[in-house]
Amino acid sequence: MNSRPRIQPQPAACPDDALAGLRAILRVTRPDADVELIRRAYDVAAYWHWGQARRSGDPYITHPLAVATILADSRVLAIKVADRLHNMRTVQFIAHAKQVRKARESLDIFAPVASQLSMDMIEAELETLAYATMKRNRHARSVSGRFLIAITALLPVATRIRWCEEWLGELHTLPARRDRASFAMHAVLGIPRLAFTVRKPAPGHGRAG
Amino acid sequence: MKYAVKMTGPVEQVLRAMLEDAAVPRYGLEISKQAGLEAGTLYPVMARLEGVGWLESSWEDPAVSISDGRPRRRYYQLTKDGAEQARLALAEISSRREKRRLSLSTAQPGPLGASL
Repeated sequence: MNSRPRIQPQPAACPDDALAGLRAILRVTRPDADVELIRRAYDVAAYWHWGQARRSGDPYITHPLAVATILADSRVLAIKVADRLHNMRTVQFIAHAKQVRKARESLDIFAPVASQLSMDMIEAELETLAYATMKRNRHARSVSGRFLIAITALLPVATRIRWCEEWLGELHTLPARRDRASFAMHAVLGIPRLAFTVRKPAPGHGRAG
Repeated sequence: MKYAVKMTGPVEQVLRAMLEDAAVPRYGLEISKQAGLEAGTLYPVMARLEGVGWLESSWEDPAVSISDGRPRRRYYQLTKDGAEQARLALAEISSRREKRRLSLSTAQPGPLGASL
């Protein structure tokens, strides 16, 4: 207690600097935020935590500031995720090529972000919707296509979409139905090995050959 | 020499096909025809070669596929390092085969390699 400084602390270097990141985010997420109030809160906290350090060696005040910044930031991300989810629910009304692009983004970017924010239900729905989008390709409705799609369920989600799209593209290139069926059949036979390959990290990767 | 990829027959076929015109990106079906491999053998090999960085793949420009009215293709190309390693590995396989052929064709015992 008596280690608490009686003098006014160095007004935390320059709170404007410390708060710059948070303020930048708030300008986007909450343009109406009371910046003066936040600054006062920071000053008070900085005063009472003066001289305390985190295990990392950083001044303690960096911690509540980081938490506030994450919260302010998550809000933007959560909004983006929700925005994307609704767009994916209504994705069949846009051009197919664009649908596929949106589906990819949803899987590569939005689903992981949703998971990070503990929005598990949303993550699962995004993945389901993105996957369903791939199935609306013309060849995806053919027997060969449906067969291929069904069996790619054995692959990890992220790679599943890639191979699905790649193979449906190949099916499209093959003119005869018999060739398409043969391609699908052979691709399917390779799936166990492919699953093994994409799941396991490359053994010699990064090492000189 | 030890390589990042086990030099199985299909790996060898893919690498020979890819080295034929290393600068030109190709999609799976083309490579499958050139290498004489079915899809089920080809794609796991492609994934493995990509995993170790010998190959890289990317989606074709959507503008092209849209104007052609088809799904976009995934194009594969050897990386610089991949092409180098592949050449070395293939040369090694060829010379080993050549040696074996010679040692089989030369009449009998004799010190190994004397016929070279």
